[in-house]
Amino acid sequence: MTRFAFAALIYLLMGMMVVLPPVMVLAMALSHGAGAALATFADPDALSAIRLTIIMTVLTVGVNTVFGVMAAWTLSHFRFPGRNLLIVLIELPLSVSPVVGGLVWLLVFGTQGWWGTALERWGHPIMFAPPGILLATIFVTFPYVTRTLMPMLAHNGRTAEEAAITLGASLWQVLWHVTLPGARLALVSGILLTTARAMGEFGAVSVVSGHIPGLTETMPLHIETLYNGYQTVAAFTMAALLVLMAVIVVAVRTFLERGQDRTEKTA
Amino acid sequence: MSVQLDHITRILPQSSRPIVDDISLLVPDGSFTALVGPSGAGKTSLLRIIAGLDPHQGGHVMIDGACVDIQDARARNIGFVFQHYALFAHMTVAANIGFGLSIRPRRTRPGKADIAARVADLLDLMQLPRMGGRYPHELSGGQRQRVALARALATGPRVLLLDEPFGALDPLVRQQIRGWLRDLHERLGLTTILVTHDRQEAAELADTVVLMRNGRIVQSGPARQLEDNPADPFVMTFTGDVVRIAGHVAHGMFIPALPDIQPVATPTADGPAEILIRPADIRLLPGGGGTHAHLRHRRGPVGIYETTIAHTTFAVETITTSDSAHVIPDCALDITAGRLARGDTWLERAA
Repeated sequence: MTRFAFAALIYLLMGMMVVLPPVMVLAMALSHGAGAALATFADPDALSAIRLTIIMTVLTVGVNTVFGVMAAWTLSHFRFPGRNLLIVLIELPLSVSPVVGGLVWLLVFGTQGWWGTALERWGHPIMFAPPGILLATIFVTFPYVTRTLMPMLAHNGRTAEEAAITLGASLWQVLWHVTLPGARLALVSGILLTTARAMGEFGAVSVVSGHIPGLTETMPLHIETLYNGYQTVAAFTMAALLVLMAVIVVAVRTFLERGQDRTEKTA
Repeated sequence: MSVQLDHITRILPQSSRPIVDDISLLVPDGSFTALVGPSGAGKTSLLRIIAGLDPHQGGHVMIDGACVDIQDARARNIGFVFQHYALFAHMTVAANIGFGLSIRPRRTRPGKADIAARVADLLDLMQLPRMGGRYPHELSGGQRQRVALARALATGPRVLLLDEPFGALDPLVRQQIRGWLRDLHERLGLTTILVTHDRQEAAELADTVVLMRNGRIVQSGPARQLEDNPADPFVMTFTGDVVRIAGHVAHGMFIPALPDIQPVATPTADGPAEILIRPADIRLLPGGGGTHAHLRHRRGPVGIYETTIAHTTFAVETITTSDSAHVIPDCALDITAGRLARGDTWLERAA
């Protein structure tokens, strides 16, 4: 009996907290009919926001995957002074408010900052421009690949890598053929987490973007602009699209995990 | 290929005691050598140094007379089999075995068909027919270990290092795979070094047994020699069953602390001592004392008598016939065939 009570409670909570909001978003988006919703995408600013979000996400995922793998590999293979400090630093973006992350970049590259004026004069400003958005997104999503990969590398241990070395594999071959495939579940998981987080990042990006419609507005920022301008249907349509993209990412992750379970157990 | 170790020392960081302490050893071409010893003796460390997986601070590793100290593990072409197989879980058995060949630089890499043929040959050799398409987790422990061995042999190494390869297998499978490994070693003309903590395994497989303790070699030679002429009490204890009889030496006689054991003459100086003796070397002297020996069980012609002296039970192995008595009354134990020890060293031979 208790079992059912707990299950019911959890379903209720989940329904209210997780299922209901996206459904409401979708309902609001379609409140004036599908035509009104689709009209949102006729706005060039909306298309620009979608494009910018996709570009930023792809770049962020690329950068953070490469450096995340490097960091995870280094931290799990070597013991060196300052290693624990490095781990704490990598986790920092998880605990620091994204707004602070954005402000830091503003301090460094803004016009009041160290190099801001010089960059502006040179004609390649970083703040209130896509490079700033990229930096902010990278900062916020940096921990995910490293933190999901490290426990897996620790679990897999070094013997498979050592076996590959005795068979004549180079460092690169070991990484590419043994280490990463052996931890691919965690790697994919980290990449998809990064993707989801990068698409939805608001706080840090809001500080550095400058909210220039059509130029530096990502989807979350554009949604805010639309909503503040009382364009409810458009705002919720964009929001629904963002939710859909996130759901796809989560679905891909679940699907891959399932597939992995079938072909692989620890030997 | 011969493997020669010349004063090898390895000190772990943050540790004062060397894990491998000034070890010199020659493993001749084509020989089968076993490194045995209790855990922590440095056996695995030594093996990893030979393979190039671990660095060493002093001395040289020579393979076929050439120093390989500065060579990476990947360049040494030494086959290494790990205790827990270390198979690549995401690859099929065939991909595992072919790995060493398929990662070679393009110039020296065999064609796909050649690799497949080599893998098929090895699967046959390992008695794993039609297993190429399976994944490691679908195999039994014994099969996985054979895949690991096949993978190590695929690149044609002449030196094979085995790190407790049978440790995780059940006794029956161990027995099978042992005989088969010895056969393989001879057929392929390998130079094999095996790490094990199982003295029987070492005795059965190896021409030379190297007994290690605390990072040093205590004694090396054929298994028989270690059993019959142990260099010190530790070697004797490690290489077979031993009965220890405490006592002391006074006026040229070793006097056992227990009654009904006959004293043994020795020219050693007075002081505490003990006698170490194999159960098969103890003799029963009927009518010589006050203890009774009972025949416990027989294995072929060997019978085991048990006798209890002052709460200590001794098992005595002896040749019996069908009319041997089940109880030998009023006997004493003759331990003249034993070795007299004080602390970690032998004293003058008792007999």
